[in-house]
Amino acid sequence: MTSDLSFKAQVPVIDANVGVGHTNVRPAPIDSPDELLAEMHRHGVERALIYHQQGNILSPISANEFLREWLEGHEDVFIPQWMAGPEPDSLAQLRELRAAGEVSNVRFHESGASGVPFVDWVYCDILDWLQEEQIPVWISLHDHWDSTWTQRSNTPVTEIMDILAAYPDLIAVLVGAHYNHSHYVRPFLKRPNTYVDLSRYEVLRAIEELVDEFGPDRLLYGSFYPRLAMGPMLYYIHTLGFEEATLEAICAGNLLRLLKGGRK
Amino acid sequence: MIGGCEVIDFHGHPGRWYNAHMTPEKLFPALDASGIDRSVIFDIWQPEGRRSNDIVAELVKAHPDRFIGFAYVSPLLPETMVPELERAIDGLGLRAIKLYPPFVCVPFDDEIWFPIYEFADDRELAVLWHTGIEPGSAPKHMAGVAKRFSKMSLVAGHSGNCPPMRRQALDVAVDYPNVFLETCSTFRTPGVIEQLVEEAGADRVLFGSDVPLMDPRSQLGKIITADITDEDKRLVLGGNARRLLRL
Repeated sequence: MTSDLSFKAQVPVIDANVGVGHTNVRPAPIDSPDELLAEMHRHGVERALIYHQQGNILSPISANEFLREWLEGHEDVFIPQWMAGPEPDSLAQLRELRAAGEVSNVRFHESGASGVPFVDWVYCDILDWLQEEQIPVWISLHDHWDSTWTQRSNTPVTEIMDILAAYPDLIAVLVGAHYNHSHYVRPFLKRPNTYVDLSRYEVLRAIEELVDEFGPDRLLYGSFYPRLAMGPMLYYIHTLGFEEATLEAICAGNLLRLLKGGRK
Repeated sequence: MIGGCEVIDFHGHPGRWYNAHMTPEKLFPALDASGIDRSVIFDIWQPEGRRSNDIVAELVKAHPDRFIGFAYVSPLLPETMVPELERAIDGLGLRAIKLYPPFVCVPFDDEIWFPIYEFADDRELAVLWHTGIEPGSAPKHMAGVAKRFSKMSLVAGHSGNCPPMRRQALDVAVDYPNVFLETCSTFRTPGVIEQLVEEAGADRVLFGSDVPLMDPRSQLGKIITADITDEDKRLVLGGNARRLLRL
């Protein structure tokens, strides 16, 4: 029961979905690591998995270069989420980072909004590598909004499901499931290596129902900041009446386990 | 109650929408878990209004301490609008009116809506509109209505939703004292609550959720985690709704 007009997280929290940097169509509300840390502190978020937003459409390779300036000196609070695309140079960059011990997870660019079909014959090389290395990959379900706020193409969920079926050992975190996706979340979770970021999943009592059916170990707190505010979903998860172990798992434990290579 | 304030969710839909589902049995535990006291409900799916308003009135009758009912009518069946409002407001006791332009694709300031406004203005009622990028829903069209029908209160549902439409909603709210801004939105943009309060004033902003598409607790989190004063939060969470609906 929450009865206060203010809120701060009651368990350790690692935000599993934070973008940094401006995009070509939308400046971010923050412009520095210190500003991001201040926002995290305001809500009681201790650490964050961060990617550079320019990797969604411009270039995963450039985004990973831009991410460096956010990580420097903040390795204790920011965990890099390297962006990935289908081009050979992207895989080469990730292999190099992996060899240096820096890759615990990656995030695919927005294939739908980039006009690239998310299909095996385009992405097979990087998918083979991710599956072989057992590196978890974040894949966006969410709709993309351009500068005019009209909706652009999503990555079709059928393409995502076909990929997951073709790579049964791939560890995937689905990002940005919305009420429009609520028909798909359960079928995705029936696949044992799939996890769901909860940043937009707010249908009435839907998270409780997922926990009842699948347990708490496949759900991750992510804010989708700066596209969405950092606090509301964290507040929401705290009002769901979960026992502390469940809350801790969703807010940080499940992510830490995934990043260390452990699955549920 | 939160922080000594009665909390009223100004935007809810009973029944099913997609595979979202709002029943008292599903909703009340969510309200209780977060301190939300009452929910405004309306049904926008029946253009003649009668079935919608009966569904809402039945729920209000069964749970008068938890639900506040709004009436729905549509210009798709213009001859039914005023008679159904008389039945729903004067007869069933519903407290305000919800309108949904995306189903009609006609902007708020088209004369097709005027019989509804005349009814609301006569009774000094609140009218909650869907606002956003959808056809007929641009908030700028509220301005002429707010000026002409100055005794009714106009509430921009979603406050325009996306930034360009939010700008329009704020501009109209600044210009007309009978315009209010309701907060539910799937966007949950950083700083949006702060912007609404700063530019329109805390006394013009209303907490809403759009349940069951969005759980009232996640939308409540937008207000609780916003960087505004506790006094402003009390107005947004319930004080303004109580004043507007004369509760």
